[in-house]
Amino acid sequence: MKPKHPIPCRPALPARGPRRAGKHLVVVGAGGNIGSHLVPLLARLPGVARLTLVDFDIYEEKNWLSQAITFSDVGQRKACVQARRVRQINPELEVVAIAERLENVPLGCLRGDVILAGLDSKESRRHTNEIAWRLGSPWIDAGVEPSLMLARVNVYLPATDQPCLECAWGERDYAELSTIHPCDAGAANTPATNSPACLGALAAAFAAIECQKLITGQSAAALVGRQVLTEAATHRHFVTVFRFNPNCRYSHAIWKISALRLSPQGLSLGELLKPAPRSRAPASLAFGGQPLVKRLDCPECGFTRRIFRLQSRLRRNERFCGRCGREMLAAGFHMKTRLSRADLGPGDAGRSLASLGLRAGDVLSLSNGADERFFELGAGPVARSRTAK
Amino acid sequence: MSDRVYEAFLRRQFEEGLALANSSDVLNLTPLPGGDPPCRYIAHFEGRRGLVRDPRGQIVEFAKFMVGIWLPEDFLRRVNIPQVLTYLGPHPEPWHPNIRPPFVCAHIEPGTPLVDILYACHEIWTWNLFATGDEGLNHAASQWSRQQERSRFPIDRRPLKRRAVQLAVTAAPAKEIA
Repeated sequence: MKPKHPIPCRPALPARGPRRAGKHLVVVGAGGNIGSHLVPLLARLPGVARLTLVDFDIYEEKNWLSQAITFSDVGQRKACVQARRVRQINPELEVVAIAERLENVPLGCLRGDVILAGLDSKESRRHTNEIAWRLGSPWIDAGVEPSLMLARVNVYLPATDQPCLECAWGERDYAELSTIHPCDAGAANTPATNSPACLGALAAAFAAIECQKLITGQSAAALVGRQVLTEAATHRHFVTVFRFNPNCRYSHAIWKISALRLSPQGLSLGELLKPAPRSRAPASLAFGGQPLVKRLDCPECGFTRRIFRLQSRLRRNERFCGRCGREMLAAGFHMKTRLSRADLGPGDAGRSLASLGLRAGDVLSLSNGADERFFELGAGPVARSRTAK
Repeated sequence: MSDRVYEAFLRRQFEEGLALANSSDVLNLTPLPGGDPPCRYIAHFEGRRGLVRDPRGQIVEFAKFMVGIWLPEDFLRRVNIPQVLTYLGPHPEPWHPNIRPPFVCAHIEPGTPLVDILYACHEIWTWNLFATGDEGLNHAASQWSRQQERSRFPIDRRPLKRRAVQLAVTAAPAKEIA
């Protein structure tokens, strides 16, 4: 469904200039069954100065009974509806609505004192866990199970020896994650949880309480490394302690990110991949694990398109086949997650990072052999004029 | 590389993959430079028959198949099959429901060992495994396969790995001839 009154929702730019003192909270899945109840609670928390709301979805009629919305919100972007409501509750708050898929949002835009998630897919929760760990931000995961009237909340505090979401996952959990097949006509949508509004509100209240503890420095009282599960049907609740799994499939790496004042328009690949003086190891550049696509192929009709862009930043007209309309895919040997000077073709060195799809707030890493350093692209002025290809 | 678990996984795949290639007469596995342990390989199968469409449009047997295998950094956690398998030739028109250059569709889960991926590629190429419905990548090949006699498949029944046969040969006592 297309939005009735589309409100331009663009990703926030990373911090520029002075900000109001107070905590920054990031809510992922801000307009859903849990998120729509959680956002107004967070807007009323003392000590909060900024809220970033992420939700790419649009309100549909079926959401009216399970989510905290009015009928006039149907057809509008969830992130924007919630942002408007926050402004009504607390006009002092700085609110940023991001109506984009989580994987497309620059990492720097998600840096908050706490990240809260009310997500309905395992894959999105896995992704949020990764984001929180990379940024070193504590995160709160809330969830519901309507058939058993369960509401739960988990709190994670990133550290190399702290349990993460994936520490408790086994082979079966990973097998349940959606796998991308080239023969699929398109990715399957996550089925709706159909949870009643009251259950979402219960999980949201738990999450807001834990958030309050974290931002007021009561980490010891917070549920760090634990889960509280409430069985509303039988009025029971359970507390589960998670342990750090040394064989966890996630690296638990926390990135030490330095701010780069230059914007993606102002930096070229050649400039970044210039070998450092006194270093023999060739410099290589990575884009936060996102692959760079060099060629797209249509699995339906075989149409091929040459490209040089991050996979998550492909434009709509690039993603779909010009001949049959099917979503085009990139084969593994036509993409790279790490670029060195040797990988650049003629003319590639002059390409700006913006032409690759990078935006302010994106994090890239430069490696000279053993040493890897992370940089967040800024929204600063373009250093020198460059031709973006 | 800072991911200890992924690194250990890659090292194990490297050892097991090369051990399989050494015990096979048809598989040649080449790790590509760019990582230690390597995460990209080219698997070259030679001497096992699959099917291709020749320039006259006829379906004929062909005994060479190359596939690129990439085990990316998040391979233990999520799988994007087009990323993992790339058809590299040498024939431009392989004839199989699960292959449409440059894509190969196989059942792979997060953390599937390289050896299992190699077996799956071999079974696909020799038509031990193929999508029979319309869900495949090459619908014409799916339809064609449904019109064939089942006894035609697989195209090549020989295994990937050479079998070790333990033969103890002892001299038989000489028969006395009266």
